[in-house]
Amino acid sequence: MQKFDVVIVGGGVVGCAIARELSRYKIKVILVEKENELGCGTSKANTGLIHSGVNVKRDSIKGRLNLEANPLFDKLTSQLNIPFSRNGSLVVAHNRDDRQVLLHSLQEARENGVKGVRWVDRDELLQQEPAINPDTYGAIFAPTGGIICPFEFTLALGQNARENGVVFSLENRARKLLIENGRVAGLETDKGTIKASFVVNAAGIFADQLNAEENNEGIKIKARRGQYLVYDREYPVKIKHTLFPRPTEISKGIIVTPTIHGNLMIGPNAEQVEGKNALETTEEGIEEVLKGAKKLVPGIDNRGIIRMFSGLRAVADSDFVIKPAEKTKGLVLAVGIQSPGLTATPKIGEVVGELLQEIGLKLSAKSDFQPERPSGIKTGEMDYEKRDNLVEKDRDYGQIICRCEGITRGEIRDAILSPLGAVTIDGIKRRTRAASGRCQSGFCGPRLIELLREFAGISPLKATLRGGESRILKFRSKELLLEAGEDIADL
Amino acid sequence: MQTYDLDVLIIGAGPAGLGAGIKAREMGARRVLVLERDFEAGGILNQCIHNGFGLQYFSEELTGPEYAGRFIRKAARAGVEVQTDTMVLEVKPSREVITSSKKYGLQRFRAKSVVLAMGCRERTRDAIQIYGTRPAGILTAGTAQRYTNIEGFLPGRQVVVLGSGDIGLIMARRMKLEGCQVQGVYELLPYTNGLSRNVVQCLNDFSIPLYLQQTIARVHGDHRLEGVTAVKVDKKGKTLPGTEEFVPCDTLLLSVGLIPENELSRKAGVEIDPRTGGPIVNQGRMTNIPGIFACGNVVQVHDLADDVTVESEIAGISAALFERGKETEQKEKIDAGKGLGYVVPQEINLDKQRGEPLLLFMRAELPRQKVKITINQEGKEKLAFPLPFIKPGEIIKITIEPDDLRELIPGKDIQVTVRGEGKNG
Repeated sequence: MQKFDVVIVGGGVVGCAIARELSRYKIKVILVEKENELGCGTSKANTGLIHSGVNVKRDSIKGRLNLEANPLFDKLTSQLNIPFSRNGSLVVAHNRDDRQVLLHSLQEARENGVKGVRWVDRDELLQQEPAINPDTYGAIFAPTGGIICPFEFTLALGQNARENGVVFSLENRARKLLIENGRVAGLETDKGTIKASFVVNAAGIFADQLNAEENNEGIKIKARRGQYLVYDREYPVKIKHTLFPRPTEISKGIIVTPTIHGNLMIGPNAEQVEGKNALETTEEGIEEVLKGAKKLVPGIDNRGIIRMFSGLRAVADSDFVIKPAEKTKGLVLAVGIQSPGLTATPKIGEVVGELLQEIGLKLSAKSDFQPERPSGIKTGEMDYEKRDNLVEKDRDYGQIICRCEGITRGEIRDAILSPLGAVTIDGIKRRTRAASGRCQSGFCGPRLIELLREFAGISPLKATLRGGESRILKFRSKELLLEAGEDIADL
Repeated sequence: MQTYDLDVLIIGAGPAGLGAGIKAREMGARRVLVLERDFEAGGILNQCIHNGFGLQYFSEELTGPEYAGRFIRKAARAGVEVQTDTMVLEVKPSREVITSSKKYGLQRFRAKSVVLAMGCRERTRDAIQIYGTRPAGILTAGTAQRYTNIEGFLPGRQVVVLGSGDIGLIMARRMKLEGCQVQGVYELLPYTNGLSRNVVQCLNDFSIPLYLQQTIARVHGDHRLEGVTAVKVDKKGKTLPGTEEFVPCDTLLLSVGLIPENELSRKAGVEIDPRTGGPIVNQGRMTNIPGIFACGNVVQVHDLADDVTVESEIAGISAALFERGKETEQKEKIDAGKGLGYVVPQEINLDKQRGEPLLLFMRAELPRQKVKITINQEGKEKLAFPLPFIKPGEIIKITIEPDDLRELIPGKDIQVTVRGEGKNG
């Protein structure tokens, strides 16, 4: 039986941030994740925004963590060597009423210490963003709003935690908390029992399924679905900032933003859905997203779309639930992490560390904690000279596998062979952007399957899109004919 | 990074690039190099193992690899160099081309003329907005063709095809021949987009149902495709509520259109015709950038490899002549008028074309019977070509003989339209 001090359930951005935080200390930590990849739930399918803190309430947990976490991203992303841009956000007023409400929000944001916020009038707004709806009454400008790749962020946190000693157990479903005398004794998983005195539930949308009776304290996680559209990088409508409408009661509204990779993205709508797998896109949802986006940027249409997707937010309450469980000693909940969860993650890690300490976990800092994660090679960011020198040393960086995004064999090899490496097509895609371009793997798909065979030893018939039954190729040529008893010698 | 000087540099070693390369050498260009991103020359023809190629150009029926093979051998004999496994990173308007490859690293080529022959790519699920989950088992027909014919694998056993383009029709038959259950080919329009011969030989002969004015509204399945919702549509392509039908399948093949692959062209500053998706070219297939030519599916999506060859030979000749400073200057515009989606070339120099027949490619917007294609200047019909029928799935080729060409007035733009036979409209 394996023994650890802390088990983290869930390998999303929250679980990985907690893992990285705990890896600073001299304790044994294991993270269990049911999928074969990190960040397969909410973390891979969201807007990828680092919110400035405009329109948040300081007296809520999510508001406070948002405000405190936003300034941490420059250092954190530089340590983790991932791209991050403070492209700035604009919350746009469409009428006098909006303007009234937003001027109040601006005042609140100033009081909350959001740096650099100011009102921009219509003329300046249109000068900054010529594509924006000219029928506007100005906007709140927040220069600290930013964009990030949420999957890369999750993976980088995970890899850095692993580098610092956290054990990752993937494709391992948490089955049941082991409780002895009202306190956590361990976790039963698909791959055996893990003994531990502390468990952190960061299971996202599935958090209420872990020992529902004993520990959920009435918490029920509802899935709120948001649908998105991503556009070709050559799409003629260009914007620089992240554009928000005036927020509604439950959401920040349908947003128009550049992604960190330079695509235009719009969404999400907000729909309450039944079940935890309702990940489809719908005609109504996509139309709602288009309509919302057009209100901000009238030139947006349904041409140039390269990807539609939807993501689920885990909603427990109006706020995050981050606290020690009352009935079960040793269990800490980090659940219901809806928006602005991605922004808040660095602080969630810290808060969970403090809570664990409060309930008896002894934390003493390691002297050899390594906060830096080495950066991967990205040939697309190099000039020709540098790139040529690189290829001289390692020929794999010369062969381009993904034509749309220009991703090389070397980069895909690295994605497979690096710690917590890719084992699926989606895994390669999220790490390297191969297959995420306009042809959506039409060209590179067969080559990626071949590279999974070469570097991960996965036979083409076992290669999956994203694990489980998502095999891409089901039979060998002629296999069905043989099965049907055809004499294929004549064919 | 090494720099190499060339007479003619061609991007893409499919039928277009090879055809252009051979002609350029025949016209006297000394150093002609074709760059190919795949491991072998031949382009998409290598996976088109069905027959039907070469009927026009060679007057015999060949498979795709056989058709490609003839040009690969001919290119070698003609002294055309081919460098495979090489991706072009950038084409500069100064005709400098940067490439990356495993074997040679980064290379810089300077050419007197460049021929763009990158072909086209397939439209995807997201481009046409099929809603639902994101399971494995949804592929473009061409990708499925590569898996089946080159890699040796089948994506599944129960197949639905959306779109009646030629690749869709060919792949419906191919899957059937592999022992798959092909549930049917669904086409949004009231007519097919493929060649008539393919409808007969691929669907009718194999009892594969064709469902016109029906589309796939939604896909189902968590990890792997479990079925699709087919739905009928009205004349405008709008779905008719209440006509939804669940069709079980583990594979959905998409044949919903081809897009000329012009990312490199655009970055170089080549002007693109929104109607073709390809560069605006003159009769010699030169683009708006002097010395940069284009041919084949990068200019317009052809139905037949044979037509690609014809077009590539035009480009190859012009590319070879350009190096000698004999480039043509564009003068008259050729516009697609009523009833036509596009006309290629979009520009011509009538003076330079004297004594030579002029071949026009065009695509009909709608199927029609008993029409004439008219060539007009200043609102007047100058020439008319009667045709028994036209349909969007089959490219229209009109050859204007040198004598007829004299009817056209130099310096005046040209409009090409479809008219009903005998009357004006």
